[in-house]
Amino acid sequence: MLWRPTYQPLFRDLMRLNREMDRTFGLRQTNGSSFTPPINIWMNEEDMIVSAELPGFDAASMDISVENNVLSISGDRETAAADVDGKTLRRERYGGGFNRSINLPYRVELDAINANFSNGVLTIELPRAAEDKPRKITITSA
Amino acid sequence: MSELTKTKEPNETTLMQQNERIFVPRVDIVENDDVVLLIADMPGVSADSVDITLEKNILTIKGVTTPFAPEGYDLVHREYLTGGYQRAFTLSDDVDRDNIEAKVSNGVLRLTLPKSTEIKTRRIPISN
Repeated sequence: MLWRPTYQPLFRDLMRLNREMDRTFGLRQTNGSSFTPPINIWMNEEDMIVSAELPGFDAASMDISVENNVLSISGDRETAAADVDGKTLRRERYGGGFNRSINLPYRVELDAINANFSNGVLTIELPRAAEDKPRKITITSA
Repeated sequence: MSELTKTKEPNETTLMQQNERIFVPRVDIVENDDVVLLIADMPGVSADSVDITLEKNILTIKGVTTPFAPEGYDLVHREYLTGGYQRAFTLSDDVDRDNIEAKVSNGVLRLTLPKSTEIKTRRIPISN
């Protein structure tokens, strides 16, 4: 049986929150049947970390860039068993390339971006630019 | 060899086991005259955290991952869950069990299952 969301207030709120998040990061995109690597986004008061599952890709074949507050990740991987000729008995894995963009909610300190790729998982630390950090304004009484 | 595999869980359902999610990894299987190649996507898994067992003719692959949880951060958007991996396959008799090779790289497990030469070269003469 297919699970369908029921319109209980809690669900409605959660779905709305989800939609809002998607809009914030510009994630709602449809690009047909091509591979879209799943990403998770972590935040604290200042910074953001993006992680993505990219099995079979290697660091050299991936490209990460930040331009106009948009983080773009792209990469390519060999399809299935490109080096072995034979009959395909099962094909469940995605092949080929991908391209993904995420809107960043703040300006990033470009020189301090730290990307790490390990065991097929990419993590990108995106520190907020110093001039973009929230500032505390002290009120002076006259 | 016609049907090499019988998967227990063909879709990405999860089952709870020791408070950990277990995923069924996506696999590709390619076969030619010499080998059967099994490639499984297991992001987050390293060579040390993969366990491959062969019991009778059931080949089981298992993988453990360390969940990524940066300290002081909240998860605000989630498209994937983390956990372990498990999937079992039924091997046919013509696989050379002693020479199975496994390699893990970039979160992908690659299993090379050579076919036993004995069976490979067996010819059945047809007499008129």
